[in-house]
Amino acid sequence: MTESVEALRQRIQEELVASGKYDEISNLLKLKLIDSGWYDKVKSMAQVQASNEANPTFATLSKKLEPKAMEMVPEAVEREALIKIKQFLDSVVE
Amino acid sequence: MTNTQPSENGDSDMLTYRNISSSILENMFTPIIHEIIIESILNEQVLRSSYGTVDNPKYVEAGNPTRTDQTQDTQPATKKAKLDSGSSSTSTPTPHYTERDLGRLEFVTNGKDVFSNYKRKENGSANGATGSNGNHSAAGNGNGSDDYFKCLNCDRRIAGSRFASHIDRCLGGRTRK
Repeated sequence: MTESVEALRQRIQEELVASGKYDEISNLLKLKLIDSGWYDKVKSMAQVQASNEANPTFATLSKKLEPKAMEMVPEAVEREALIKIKQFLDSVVE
Repeated sequence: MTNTQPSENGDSDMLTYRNISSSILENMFTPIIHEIIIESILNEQVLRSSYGTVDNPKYVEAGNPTRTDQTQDTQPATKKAKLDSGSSSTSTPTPHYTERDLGRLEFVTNGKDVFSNYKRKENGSANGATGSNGNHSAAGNGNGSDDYFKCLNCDRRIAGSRFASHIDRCLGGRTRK
């Protein structure tokens, strides 16, 4: 059962990419994040973290920053992206 | 496509709109965050190769040939901004400096900020010769009224407040009669 769920999830993801909607929603999301100031805040946070570490690596920084960055995402931006994704799902899911 | 039904208890095993939307959204956030992290690491590596770390900075000789010893540098020769001369900076460890340069934190090198303007200690407004037209060079030490500028046309030291009028006369082509 789990495998079929995963397979279905994978199919939906592939359909999203193939239709071009993934790029469209992703680009829109990035623009909204930049406009809201989230991008600059995370960039600043990453720069400070990298300068404070003796040997900054991608693994260590992503482990520390990813959860914080995800929490900092504005609700409005998240909501808007979810609406777009749901619109796509409505179009492909019976 | 197979039907997806909303689950009553939000069971993660079931494919729900919420689950799949969230996972797709998370997949979209991840490369954006990774891009930012990679950029910050690369920036930090570039900074460290030129200027050292924040705790262990590299001191660079401020070898500006247009500057004479008028500055009477009591400040240590600190990191040379690339904006000053446009040439690549050389890194030379100078262990004899006693005053720690906070350039990476405060962007102040030899009394200048990152835009090569002298940082005023009192009112914070930047003032200084940027050398954009090549006719003058900054020779002050960044303190209030002590901003003297050397006119490269006549090789005289001129106070900042009088520099504009001097340049007007010096380059204006007007002669004494």
